[in-house]
Amino acid sequence: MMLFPLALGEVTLTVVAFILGVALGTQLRSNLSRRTTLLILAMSVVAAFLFEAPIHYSSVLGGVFFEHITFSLKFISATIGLLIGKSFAKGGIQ
Amino acid sequence: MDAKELRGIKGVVAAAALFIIFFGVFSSFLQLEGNVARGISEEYNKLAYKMAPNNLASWVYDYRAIDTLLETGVIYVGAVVSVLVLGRGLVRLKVPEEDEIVKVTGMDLKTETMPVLLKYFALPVVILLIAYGLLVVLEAPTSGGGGFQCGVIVSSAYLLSVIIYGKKSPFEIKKKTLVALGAFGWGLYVLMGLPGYLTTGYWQYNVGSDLWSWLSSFPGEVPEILKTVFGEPFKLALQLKEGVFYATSGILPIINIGEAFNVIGAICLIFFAFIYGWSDPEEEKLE
Repeated sequence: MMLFPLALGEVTLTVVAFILGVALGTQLRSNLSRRTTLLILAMSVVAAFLFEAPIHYSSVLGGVFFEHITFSLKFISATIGLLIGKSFAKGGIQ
Repeated sequence: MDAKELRGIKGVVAAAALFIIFFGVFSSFLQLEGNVARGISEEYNKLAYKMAPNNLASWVYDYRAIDTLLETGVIYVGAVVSVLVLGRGLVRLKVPEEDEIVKVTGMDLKTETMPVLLKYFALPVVILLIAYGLLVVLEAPTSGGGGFQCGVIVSSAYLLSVIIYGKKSPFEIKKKTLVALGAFGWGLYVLMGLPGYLTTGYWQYNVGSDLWSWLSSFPGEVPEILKTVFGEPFKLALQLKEGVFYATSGILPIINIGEAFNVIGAICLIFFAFIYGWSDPEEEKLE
């Protein structure tokens, strides 16, 4: 299990997903309860597990924890970005 | 659009953009003679180990991206024609605050009477759909997906939100924002053509992965700084039996993002026009 990737590509797109998530999240206008926020985060983790990391990823920062336990970190970071972006817009998390 | 609206800085920017695109594309066409190899498989197979892991996406991107851009253009034309036919006049989208957002009473749902499933799960689904759209566009270099698919998925989230929540739609994108998104997408897409054109003479040459400079007939040379700027951030290590190889998708992810924004703007604008309506100035005078 490697913590850091051999190349930058495993991390860059996760950061880009977060930025794009924030950008689109600012267009979300609604009040989210803490319970709903936690539900969304939990669902995103499950979805990320189902989507898996791309086959050429090999590090923890790329979402590969063990051989068959990998997460699509882009999905999780996009979801977090959306929630953070939403908190900048009118409403926010209550 | 009135020609007077193009005066000032807008007109200068529009004229400069049109000139750059026309000059770049036209001069690229002039250089085609003698530099085109019929068929792509032989060359691309030689280069496969230097390319992004998803060879299929990289092989056909030269063709598919332009195809998608033109498809987007077709969507714009289709939207304008549809609105012209149905609206019988020039398109002038209404701003939501000016009028009823949803005129059909059946769509004007009250969240109090909404089924529990929709009430509690619709918004999380919308948010997860947007995240899925972003995943699809960003994983394009390594798996299936792309800008167009992302645009369609995010637009579906927008439509789903409006259908379920009606006036209280939580995923509310203003008309100006949609136009800005579409324009940003086109702009990013076109800008990505410049680095390759200025250094090699080929419009949208992938300066990040630089696949073709080994050919003796290749006209230009990509500076190391451009290879680093566009190649390093997207570089992946392919750990194969033969050893570790490095591959980068270069400018493809950026082009995909531009394409995605463009499609989000285009398709959401169509939804916007049909949901919020449009008005004909002459009809308004008659009323």
